[in-house]
Amino acid sequence: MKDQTSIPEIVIAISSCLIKSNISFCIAGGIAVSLWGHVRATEDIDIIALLDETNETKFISALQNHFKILPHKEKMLQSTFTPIKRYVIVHNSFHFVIDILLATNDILKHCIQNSKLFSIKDIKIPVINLEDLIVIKCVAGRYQDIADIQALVRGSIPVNKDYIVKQLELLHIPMPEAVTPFILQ
Amino acid sequence: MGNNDNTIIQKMMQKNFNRFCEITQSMFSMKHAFYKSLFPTLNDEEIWSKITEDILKRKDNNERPNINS
Repeated sequence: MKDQTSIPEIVIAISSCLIKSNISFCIAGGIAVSLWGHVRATEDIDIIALLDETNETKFISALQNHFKILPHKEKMLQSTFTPIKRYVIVHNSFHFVIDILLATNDILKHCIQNSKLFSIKDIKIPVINLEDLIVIKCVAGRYQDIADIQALVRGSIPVNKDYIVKQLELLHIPMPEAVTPFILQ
Repeated sequence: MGNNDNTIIQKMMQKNFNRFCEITQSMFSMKHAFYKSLFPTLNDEEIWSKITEDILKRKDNNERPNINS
């Protein structure tokens, strides 16, 4: 792979652009799953953020200092009706997808408030809390989400299962059958 | 969470992040090599564009129908 920007540099640069733009956010998706102990590769970066027109302009302008940005259509996450801002960033020909889930509901806002800081190279990156990550993955319920939940619950970090059950009850969302034995045991 | 627990978690996260970066970078390298073998005439920019196009296609089709329904 020629001239590829390194993955840690990309993650740090994106986080730093969000911080500089005063955007409240947390890292979710595959990166969060990896940080919480189930290390796996991912094809994109998923972020939950309180994004509005003003801070988005700042964010894009900050991103442009590091990357070329390819225009992309805004879309809706079908599982939750959450709007997603999608950016494809390019550096040295390498393309990388950024999906920003707009924190338009209380669950996602709570994920941001409840996030944990991960320190790397002089910056502190907010990462979704382990239990909130599992709740979000129960809501999404795709094959990869279920596999992630099973691995995270079996992992070395103790999971507050009561919290997960309570959050799902509050949201009136049934626990996916495939994870019930792992959460309720 | 106590300070000691927090330090342990930070250390674990840093280790996991390094490993995550290694395997993600390897995955992209393999993708690049694979697509290059399929499309030898394309330049790097075109290869990455094709890889991303396929990633997005898969992401868009992988979603489960609305859970709120």
